[in-house]
Amino acid sequence: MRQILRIENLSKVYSSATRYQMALCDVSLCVSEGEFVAIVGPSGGGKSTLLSILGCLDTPDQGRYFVFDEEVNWKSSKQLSRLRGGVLATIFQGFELVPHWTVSENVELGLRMRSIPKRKRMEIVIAMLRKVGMLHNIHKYPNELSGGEQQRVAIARALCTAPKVLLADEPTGNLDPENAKEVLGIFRSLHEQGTTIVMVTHDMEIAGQAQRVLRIQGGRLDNSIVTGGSHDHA
Amino acid sequence: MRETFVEVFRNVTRRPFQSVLAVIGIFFGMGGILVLSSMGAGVRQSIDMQVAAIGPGMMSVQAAPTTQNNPTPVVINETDAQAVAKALGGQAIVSPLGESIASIEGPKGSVSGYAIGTDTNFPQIESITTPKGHFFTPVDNAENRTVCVINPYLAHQIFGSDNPIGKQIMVNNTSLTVVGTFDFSNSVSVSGSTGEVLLPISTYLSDMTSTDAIAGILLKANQVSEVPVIKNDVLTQLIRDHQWTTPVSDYQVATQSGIVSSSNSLKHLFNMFVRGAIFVAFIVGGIGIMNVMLMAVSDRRKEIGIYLSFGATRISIIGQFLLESSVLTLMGTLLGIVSGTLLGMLLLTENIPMNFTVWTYLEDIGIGTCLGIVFGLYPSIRASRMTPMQAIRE
Ligand SMILES: Nc1ncnc2c1ncn2[C@@H]1O[C@H](COP(=O)(O)OP(=O)(O)OP(=O)(O)O)[C@@H](O)[C@H]1O
Ligand SMILES: [Mg+2]
Repeated sequence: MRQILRIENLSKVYSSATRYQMALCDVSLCVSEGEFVAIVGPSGGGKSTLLSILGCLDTPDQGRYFVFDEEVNWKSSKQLSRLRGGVLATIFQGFELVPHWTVSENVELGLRMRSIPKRKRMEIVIAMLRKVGMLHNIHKYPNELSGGEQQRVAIARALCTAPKVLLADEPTGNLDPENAKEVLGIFRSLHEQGTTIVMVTHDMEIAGQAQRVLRIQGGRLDNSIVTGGSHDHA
Repeated sequence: MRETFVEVFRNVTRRPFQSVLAVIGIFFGMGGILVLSSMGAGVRQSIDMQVAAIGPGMMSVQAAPTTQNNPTPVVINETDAQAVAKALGGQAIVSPLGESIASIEGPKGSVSGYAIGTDTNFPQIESITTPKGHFFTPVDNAENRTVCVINPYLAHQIFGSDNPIGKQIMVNNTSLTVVGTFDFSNSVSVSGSTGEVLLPISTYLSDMTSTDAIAGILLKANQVSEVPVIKNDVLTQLIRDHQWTTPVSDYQVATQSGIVSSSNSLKHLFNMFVRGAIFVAFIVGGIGIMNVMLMAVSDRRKEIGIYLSFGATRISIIGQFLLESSVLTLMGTLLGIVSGTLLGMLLLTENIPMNFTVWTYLEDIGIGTCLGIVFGLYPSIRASRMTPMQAIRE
């Protein structure tokens, strides 16, 4: 299978005037096209940091990152924008919805950035909101929604642009088992259609749905427990 | 396109307080610039008009003012005017000019103004007409008659709508008979906006002043090309008559070209002043809008981060902020233009020369747009430089 994401010896340091925090340390990782990878690990282990670098939303301090064998570091800001709005899509751990936009305005953001006409955008938005069961909240504002509802809006927003790679940071973290199962069902069907998924989770049962589970702890990839997932991709 | 504007509108109205502050900053800046540059143009124009009033060939001779180095300046009197006229022959028309502040009293009121003593060459030199009655005559002058010609402004002040011709007025306790009212288009010696009484120089010297000194001599050369020669002749004549030992600079002979060049340097000075004030207004308004834009950016870091995360380009972020600051600037500029124009009209009624030209307006709008672009650019470039995560986390 073709490699879609590859990082080599990657490190990331958060530094402020008073503190210096090694969030990722010498991490190397390959994700093949169409793969479903779960990342687990303790809180503060560096999972979100890794995901933000994979999503081209932050820059590493050391090491290299390739998307489709092209090094991200050398890309222009325009090419990066195209990656973020196209191949890649991120579901943030903190949802990151724009508070003064309605649900539908939030969801259509990626489509708007691609200059897709309004009518077409609305069609896609409605389809995506229906998929995550949020269609009835289409005109609400984020602060009128529960955490779980906001999470599902954030999922719809990431799915809108039909990304090749979905980077999901605790996508079921705020959902009850019922809804979590539903979201997982969506992910699995995307996976079956060929979408590459990298999903961060605390829940080992959910991680078990992936083909491969990676454990990251103290900023390091723990190679000892890299396991195959419960189901295999044909 | 429409959507972009809707979004700009929403963003501007979502923080009404900040937006209003920005608009107010720009509004004062731009209004000030408009008033200043209109006033600049107005003053330039009025200088030009006054200079234009001095027709080519027009000259005036005056004694140098009293200064520390020259405590007893020479005095010009009527005989000097006569001597100059004689010496120049037909080369120029010459007229003496005596002027003093006077209290003027008529049947319907009293004002303070000027008593101006001169002779019958004066109307020709200054292009003065007498729409009612007539100018005083050479005989009036020769016989010291107590007659005068007044301007319509004065007539209105002290006679109301009555016909002043043939009536008596009191000028500095001397009773004069009004024989005419005078009018003019452009003049060096009279303004028309204050009470002015023209009377024979002989009457002026005997009744209005205790000395025989006069303010100066007016000349109009028949040929403009002869002005330098005439200037020289006048000085020679004056030096001979006064058996003069003091330096030539004790007299001032003003010629049109001399006045034009000194008025040009005055205009230049005034221009510099206006430009300086415009620059200050520009900076003040600009810092205001820059502050607001910086605030808007830090306010919306997270939003910018989200935009960037879903494929917004740097250019589109810059464009959006630029558009927002331009809208604010434009609103401020338009308000500034309206209020500046109103203020200018108010100043105009206070007799402050204002000249609103298309150029002043274009300039104002141009400056306003520059302001929006220059000061909207920096914060938006700063905003677009962050990585999406940096923006979201902050
Ligand atoms: N902006 C930041 N500035 C400084 N340190 C940070 C920042 N973001 C994360 N960190 C630190 O980096 C480390 C890794 O953080 P990260 O968010 O990647 O952890 P995580 O595995 O996602 O944790 P969780 O499961 O709680 O979400 C943590 O120790 C955290 O304190
Ligand atoms: Mg995390």
